[in-house]
Amino acid sequence: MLFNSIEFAIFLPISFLVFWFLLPRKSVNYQNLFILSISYLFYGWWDYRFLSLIIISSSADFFIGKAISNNSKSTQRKLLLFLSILINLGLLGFFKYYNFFVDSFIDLSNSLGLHAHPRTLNIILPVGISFYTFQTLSYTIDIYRKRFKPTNNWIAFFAFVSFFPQLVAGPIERASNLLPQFYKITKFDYKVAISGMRIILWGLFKKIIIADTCASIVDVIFEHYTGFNGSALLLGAFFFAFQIYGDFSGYSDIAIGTAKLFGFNLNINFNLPYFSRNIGEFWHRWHISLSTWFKDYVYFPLGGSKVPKLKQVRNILITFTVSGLWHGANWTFVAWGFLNGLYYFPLIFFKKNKNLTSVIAENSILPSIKELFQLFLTFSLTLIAWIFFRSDSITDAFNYLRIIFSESLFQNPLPLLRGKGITDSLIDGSIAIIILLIFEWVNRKKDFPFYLDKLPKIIRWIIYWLIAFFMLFYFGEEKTFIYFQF
Amino acid sequence: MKKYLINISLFTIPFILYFFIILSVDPFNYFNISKIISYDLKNEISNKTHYQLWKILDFENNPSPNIVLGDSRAARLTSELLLELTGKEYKNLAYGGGYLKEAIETFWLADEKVKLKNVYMGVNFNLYSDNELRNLVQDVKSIKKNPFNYVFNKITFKALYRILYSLITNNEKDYEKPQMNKEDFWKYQLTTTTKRYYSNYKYPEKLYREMQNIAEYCNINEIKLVIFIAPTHTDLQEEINKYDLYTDYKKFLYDMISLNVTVFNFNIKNEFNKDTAMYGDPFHLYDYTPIVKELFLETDSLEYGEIISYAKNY
Repeated sequence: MLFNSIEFAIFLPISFLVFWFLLPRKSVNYQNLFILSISYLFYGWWDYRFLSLIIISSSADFFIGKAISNNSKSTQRKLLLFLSILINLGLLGFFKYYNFFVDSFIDLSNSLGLHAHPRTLNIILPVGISFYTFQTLSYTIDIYRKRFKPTNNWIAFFAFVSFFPQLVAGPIERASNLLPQFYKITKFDYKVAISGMRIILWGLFKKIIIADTCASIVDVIFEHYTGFNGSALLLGAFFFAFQIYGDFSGYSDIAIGTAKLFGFNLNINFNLPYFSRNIGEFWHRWHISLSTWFKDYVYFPLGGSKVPKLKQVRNILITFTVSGLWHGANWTFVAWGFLNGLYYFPLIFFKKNKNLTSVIAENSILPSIKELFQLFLTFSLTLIAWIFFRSDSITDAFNYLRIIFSESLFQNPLPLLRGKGITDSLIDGSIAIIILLIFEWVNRKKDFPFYLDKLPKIIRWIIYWLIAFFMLFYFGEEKTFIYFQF
Repeated sequence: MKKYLINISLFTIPFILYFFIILSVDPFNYFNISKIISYDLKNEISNKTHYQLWKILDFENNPSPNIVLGDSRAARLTSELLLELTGKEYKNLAYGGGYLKEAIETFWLADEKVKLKNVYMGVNFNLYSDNELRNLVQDVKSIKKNPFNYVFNKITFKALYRILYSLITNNEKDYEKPQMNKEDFWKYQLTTTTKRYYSNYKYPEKLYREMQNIAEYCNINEIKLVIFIAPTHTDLQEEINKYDLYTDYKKFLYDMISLNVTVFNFNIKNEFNKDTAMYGDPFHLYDYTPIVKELFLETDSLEYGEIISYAKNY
């Protein structure tokens, strides 16, 4: 079930009340069994058949984790780890990439004059498979690396893997952060619960008001891009940048807030990425759980940055290309990933790839000219990459860019956008984005952008009510989250 | 925990209050229970707030097998006028500022509700384009799904605000009237509006297929489908040549003929359409009575238009 659905609006309060009022609080196993049950209910709501896959993945890694830890022989440990990788990536590869590779093979064969006809299968992509397979894989890898001890409590482990707030679209949690939380009975904390509600509200604002509003603009522009001028297409790319940000960070916020309602802490997944001053900083702020996963389990094993520059470049390109492929079974995602990897070149060669950890405009209200230029450049680069991400094909992406970088970039986009039913969305979306950016900028030094604690209670409540009302007004058609397709 | 539950309960109070306000006012008669606000006031305000939502919900509450579809020109063929002239009840499901895609979707919605007998569909060239893709009927489908969607959406809120404003101030704003005199609006329609329609004209393959589907469906189910091309002033008719769309216009006429239904074309160069006094703006006549008579009463000779295609069962 979607977070922005009536079913979830009913599921969550009932689960919350049962969890805190009816569940016996004497044994952690009762707690975890309940979490496991409601998580399976949540996941099975899409398609109950896919529960078998998550059970397979959880079972395999539970037992493999224990076996790796109990085994001292290096070869056997490696074999067991390989088995875990095979099972998880095998499941992922089959359900997500089988048809993609078959189609690509057919295209390649045809271009070489050979006519291969392997069968494509009618495979449905199980929701969240890219996320939970990576989550369980990190568990076994960390055990292999002796950075984490396996658990003997299968209920806690299964609950950790299937924990419903983050099951279908992340954050991809590391066992070291989340699993220990299932070893103890959670206690209700008023401030944490209120913080959770606030985070959920902000996440719903980003999803429903920003992402879904931008989606109605983006869908029209990208579907009929040949009928628009460069300036309209640039607007389309701009709104997509905020659609995907609102969608994905909104989901993460709802996941984090929901987890807090049950007394669990998830890691932050987005940290004001569009205020990044270079691409390196961007990737420390965007989908943090995935980028750190690839850094720890792909980039570092390849040698990371502790190798000659050319190899470092190779490592970056491989990591980002694979990351692109993770996002979807289409060459556009691969191109998007590869392009992001290319963006690192100047940072590597000019030795600017160390993390920018300071907050932008740390000691001033507004950014400096230099920071503004850096923001603009970084945002522009990500915008170009997003065009590949959103386009249906590489050809479409290049055509889209070709039209943007033509004379028509300086034409008025509005006459072409009228009559498409998106005029209201253009206004609403623009206002919502401005509100988002103001909140994020003003609170950039705080833990969370939607920070109103310094305001009087009545003002805070009025703001919460207004946001909740606007969110409900824009509720409309339930639009799925973009990252569910991954 | 107690404090948390109390705060959450207090937080929900405005939403519950709002729900009851909507239930009482019911701007679009979705619930159709409360009679606190008169139908006439809602017809005046909610209709103009969102034609599609008002008319479709009104149709659901009072369906009819005879319908009129189209844009603002077809919308002037009001139910009252048709009843007076034909003696038959017609529900007018044409929308001010409506698009062809919306008319097509409305046909299918109406067909789900009632067995249709007579369908009159206004189709004009300016809407027969793949660039005219707006579809507000999608909003209606989403809103109709459940009461929650109806209560909590901006269209309902907007209509509620306008109704309450009207009641409090005793002042009915005209939400449709352009803020210009006739002469200025005439020029505006011939420049800005036609530019929007014609400068990026694209032949609508999808829309044509959807029209074919409707025509075939009507033939199979013995529904009388009549397409009419509403009259426009000759000043507007000539704009097609300025944008070099004469061939496309002919293709449009040919497409309508190829549907094998009866097609009336009132959009011709005749004295009636040359007369500025007959028109409020280049798109709209002041009085559609003569058009209705020729379209609905099956007279022997036509003065204001011509039949360019006959259906077998006409």
